[in-house]
Amino acid sequence: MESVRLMILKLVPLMALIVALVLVACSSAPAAPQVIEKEVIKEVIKEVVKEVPVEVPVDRVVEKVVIREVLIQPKATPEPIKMDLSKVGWLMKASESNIKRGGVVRTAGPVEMAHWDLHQGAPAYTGITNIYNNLTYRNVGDGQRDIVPDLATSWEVSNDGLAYIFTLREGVKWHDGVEFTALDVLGTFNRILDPPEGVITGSIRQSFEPIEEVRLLDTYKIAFDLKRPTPWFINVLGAAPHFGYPVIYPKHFLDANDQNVRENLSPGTGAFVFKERIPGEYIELEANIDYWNPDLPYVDGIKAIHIPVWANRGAAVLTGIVDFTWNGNQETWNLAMAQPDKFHGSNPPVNGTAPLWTNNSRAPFDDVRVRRAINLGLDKKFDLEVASAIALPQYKARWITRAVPGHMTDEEILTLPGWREDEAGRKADIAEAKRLMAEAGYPDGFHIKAVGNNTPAGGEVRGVAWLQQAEDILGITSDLEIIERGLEGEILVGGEWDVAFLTGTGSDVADPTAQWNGIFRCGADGNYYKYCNPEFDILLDNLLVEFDAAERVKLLRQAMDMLDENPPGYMVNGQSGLPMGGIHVKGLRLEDLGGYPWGRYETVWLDY
Amino acid sequence: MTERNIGQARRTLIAVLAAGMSPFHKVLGFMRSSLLGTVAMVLFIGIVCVGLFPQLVAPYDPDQLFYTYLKKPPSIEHWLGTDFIARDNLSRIIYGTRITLLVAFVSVFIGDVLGFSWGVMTGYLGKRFDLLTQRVLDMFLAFPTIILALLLLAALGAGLYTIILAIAVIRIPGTARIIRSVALTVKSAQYVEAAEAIGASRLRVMARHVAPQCFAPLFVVASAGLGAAIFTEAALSFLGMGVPPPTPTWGNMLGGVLNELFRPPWWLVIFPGMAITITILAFNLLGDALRDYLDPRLRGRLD
Amino acid sequence: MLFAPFADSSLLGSVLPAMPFFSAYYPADAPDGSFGIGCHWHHHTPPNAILKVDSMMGRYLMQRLLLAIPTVFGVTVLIFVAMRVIPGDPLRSIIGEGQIYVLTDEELNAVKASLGYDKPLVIQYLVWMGDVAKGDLGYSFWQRDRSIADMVIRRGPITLQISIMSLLLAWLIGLPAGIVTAMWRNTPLDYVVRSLVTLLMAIPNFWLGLAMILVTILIWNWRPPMELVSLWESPWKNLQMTIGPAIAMGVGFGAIIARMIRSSMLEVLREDYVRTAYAKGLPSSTIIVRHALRNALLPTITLSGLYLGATLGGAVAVERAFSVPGLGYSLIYAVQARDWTVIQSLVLLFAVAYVIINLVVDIIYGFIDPRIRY
Repeated sequence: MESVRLMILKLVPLMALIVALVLVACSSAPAAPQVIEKEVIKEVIKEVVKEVPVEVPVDRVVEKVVIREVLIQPKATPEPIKMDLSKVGWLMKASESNIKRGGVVRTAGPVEMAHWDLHQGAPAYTGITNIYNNLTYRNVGDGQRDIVPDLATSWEVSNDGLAYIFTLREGVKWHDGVEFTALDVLGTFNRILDPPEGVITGSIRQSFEPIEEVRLLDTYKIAFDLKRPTPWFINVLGAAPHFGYPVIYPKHFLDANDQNVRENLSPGTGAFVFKERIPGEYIELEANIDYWNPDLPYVDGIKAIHIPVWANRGAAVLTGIVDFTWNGNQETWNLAMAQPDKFHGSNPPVNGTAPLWTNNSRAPFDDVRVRRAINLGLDKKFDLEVASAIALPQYKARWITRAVPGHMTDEEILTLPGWREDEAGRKADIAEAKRLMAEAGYPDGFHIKAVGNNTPAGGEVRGVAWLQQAEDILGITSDLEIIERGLEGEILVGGEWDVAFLTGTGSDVADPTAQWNGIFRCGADGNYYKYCNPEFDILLDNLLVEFDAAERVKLLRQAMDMLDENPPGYMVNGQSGLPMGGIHVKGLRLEDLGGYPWGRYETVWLDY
Repeated sequence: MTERNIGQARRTLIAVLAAGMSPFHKVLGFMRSSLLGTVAMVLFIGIVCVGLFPQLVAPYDPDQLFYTYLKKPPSIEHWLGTDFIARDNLSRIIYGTRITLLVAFVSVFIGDVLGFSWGVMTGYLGKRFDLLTQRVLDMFLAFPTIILALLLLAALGAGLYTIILAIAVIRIPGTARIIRSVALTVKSAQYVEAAEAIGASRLRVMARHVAPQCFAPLFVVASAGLGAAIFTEAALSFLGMGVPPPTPTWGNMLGGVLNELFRPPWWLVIFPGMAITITILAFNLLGDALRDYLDPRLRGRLD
Repeated sequence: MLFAPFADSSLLGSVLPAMPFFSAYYPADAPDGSFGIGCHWHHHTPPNAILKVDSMMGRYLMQRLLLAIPTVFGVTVLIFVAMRVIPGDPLRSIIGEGQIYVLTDEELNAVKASLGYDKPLVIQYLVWMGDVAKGDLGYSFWQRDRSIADMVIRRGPITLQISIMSLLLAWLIGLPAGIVTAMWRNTPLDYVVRSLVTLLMAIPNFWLGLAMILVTILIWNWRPPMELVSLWESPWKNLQMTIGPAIAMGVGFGAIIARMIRSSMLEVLREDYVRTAYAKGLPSSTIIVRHALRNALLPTITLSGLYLGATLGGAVAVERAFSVPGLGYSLIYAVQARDWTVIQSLVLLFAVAYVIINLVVDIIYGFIDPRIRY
């Protein structure tokens, strides 16, 4: 074996050489972290002088605009949503009468989560919210309509609308046996409002911005003090399912885990207990026999199966792989509705929207005329058709979704410039758009840098279609860069883009105010548009406190007009949801949903 | 010894004969030698022409939106139908030829030229150089093709240049290995020994004597490599790691269909795939016929 | 790469037509410096060609084994280096659904430290290698509770199963086709089959898969199941999911096998000793089976081994087309999501599996190849 030994001897220096080379290469080029500057601007609204132009913040401090001292005069005295007294002592239940028990309900959806912490951005639609409760909730058994008690048995509101006092349910146990008390609610909300280092609750905090302080009154009584009377506060607590789902976490768990629920799943108080999870495949939950609502749940367990491709979720229902899904797509939903003896479903509006961001801090979109031009000139009908063909059906939305009282109906919208679909109307709109472009100094269009994420609804299909339209109609040429979803934030903050096709946004309640406050207000944290319209800010201030429903509608109409005149970007669509399921899935009023769920479904039962 | 000499004599004879013929006659000879090869050649030329001058062939601009024809099946106005955002399918397929061919030719060219040089060098220069570089070669060969490409694309980001680089890198080891074998054969030929004996520098011997003998195998390797490169590019684009939208390539047209998989529009699935198949087929057949023509006995040498 | 000729050819030339996911990782040179496989050796064997069995064989095995080690080592270094060349800083932002939140510097540093990304590269490499040696493949970069080893154990079998099934199918199709075309050479049947074979080789496997799904959906409204079910739990359901990809992949390789068998059989059938056998009056079937087929099978078996190794990773496109939840699909998902740790581990897995399979094939080959054996 002489030659073998020789061979080894020969190879050793070779390996050493390779290692040395690699070390040299690597050590001379360490991965340098990219530093992104983020300016946080604090503004004090004092007095407004309309003529003063506002310098849009780029990387320096913003020019302060002085506005009158807060003279918010809501039309109505704050009449907060008082609890519906008929709901005292109410317990969640299905609306049918001949309920059968047993079985495991299977659902299909995007059951992929990076971590377990719902307040740090873990998606609520995976089904794990079935493990928890909120203070108040929507009536699941009745199609998500009324607000009903959950962990709070009743609540009172002070007359000035600034204090909400919740009486909490007694005898509730966490899944690990510990008693539930008001300390848990306190711990949960303190964490949301003032998280320690390492815990990031930015997105959900936006919804709870009106809260000044949370006070412990008694073992089962807690008070929320608000900065200002807020019309939708109760709604937010039980909120719409999507974003920042405000479940209650146990204090003892938070304390034991550095206030962090990312790594380990926290126990809940809900109707189901966590059983098993195979990442990328499914999550299994089983019924909580000690649930404080003795009637629930009706089924023995839940299996939420992960199906990444949207169209396959509806397909899974059609082929019997799952019982129901919140995410059918248009095609599969139509096929299901065509067989009413086998399937049922509905088409409720979602609170989510998918705006196209324009970078208002630099040319050409810093000129309001250009922004108006794109809102007038592009063929919105075509845009919606493309968007609808991809995933969820989209409907026309003039800045607010169909879920909001005060939204405009399709017929009304169709009469507006920019939305008209008849030939003459389109011609006029395009002509006006071109005129505006010329006035702004771009008679032949301009060239922009577009960024899109790597999903069809973002950059890959819709973005391409939009940019092509922009070129055809207005002469706007572009370079499109497709980026990974994970890099979206970085790119947005970096500011080196003109148009961005990114993940949609959403509101927790059927009212855009909190969301607008977070993304449209001058200098707001989430204002990546760098949009600044002081008049709109005043309107927002009014909306934040106005309780009179009719007055709110008026304000929202005003807002729509304002946003048309000075658009922050391009937003034409609200999304519908298409829940669909087998006819044997009962207890949720799937065929008649009042709002878009995507959340808990503990009243479900299977009628085999 | 004798075997070597006979083989050598044969090759010299053919080389002499071939040298005497004009290129035109060579081509004519090729065409006469194989009907299939002729057909493949015509197809090849046709595809290349479409790739070079898509404007002449395509009925519409590939990016043009036909606002009222969203996702429509084949019709008189749009022979192969329209896609998800109302673009003409036929035009996109025609323009897709350009990128596909570009990627295939450039990457195969780069990869094979590099592999050729490497193969000749290691084949000729022998043991020490051989040992070092062979281990590096083995390292690259240890990856299944697509995996290596994915690794490079993940690291460098998807895009036209990255794909070309990835495919070129993949081709180098394989080509090098084959050319090395041929070079090893040639190395021991008498005329090479003669050149060395009179003191020709190694570089000169390599360039003037060894390398030319390896050209014919290189052609064959390259021509079939084109087919493989087209497949790899299509697969990578299909997976979303290829040339980004809106540029059409056959692979990413197929990938886009997966958005709506319950009842995919058949015209968006069938036609781009047919384009890939026909192209690969043409290139493969051409390569086969070429190799048969250049030296039937080469078949036995290519290992 | 080596490419199969369309016409008759020698055994040597009849290997590896344009198989896209093959590198030409081929059984290496014999110890005496000659190369190639099969019966035709173009270089003289050294004068002392009849060597002792142990020394020759042992040397060969040791050589192959020792060559594999630096290859694997080099592979790990290559993967590691590639994964650290990351443009931009993906940790910068966290995406919750529908919201985009950008991390501050302190938050970013905290996350980095918890992942061990602040240590020098060499240390990171050594730590990684140490973990792999222990069998700890780490966790997904974005989903910190998702163990990669678990994922491999869960999804690996289905990828393996599909590879094996496609290989079996390929043989089922290729062997008879190859024999038929060799024995009935230049008849119409031959031309038809050979045309089919050439066509099948040009069809991209993932497109074939898409077309298959298209047909089953449009005609029978049926879609393969999407839930992962192992063969033992529910064979019928499992087969529904795996038969599609197996066909899509197997058909292409079957064409290659057919070609190879054809050429090598034709080669052998021309040999003198076969003519002798015919002259002796041996029945055709015996000749075919005992002589021609035996020699023809050799390189095909080698090739099959390589194919198996290559398809473990190379089936990514087909898995994507069928939405099969296998390892290939996981890799694609990881690449799209920039999940560095998963990419690292899976690529390493595929490469090492490939090297090991090649090694096994080489060793088996060492036992079979008469030059080395005798």
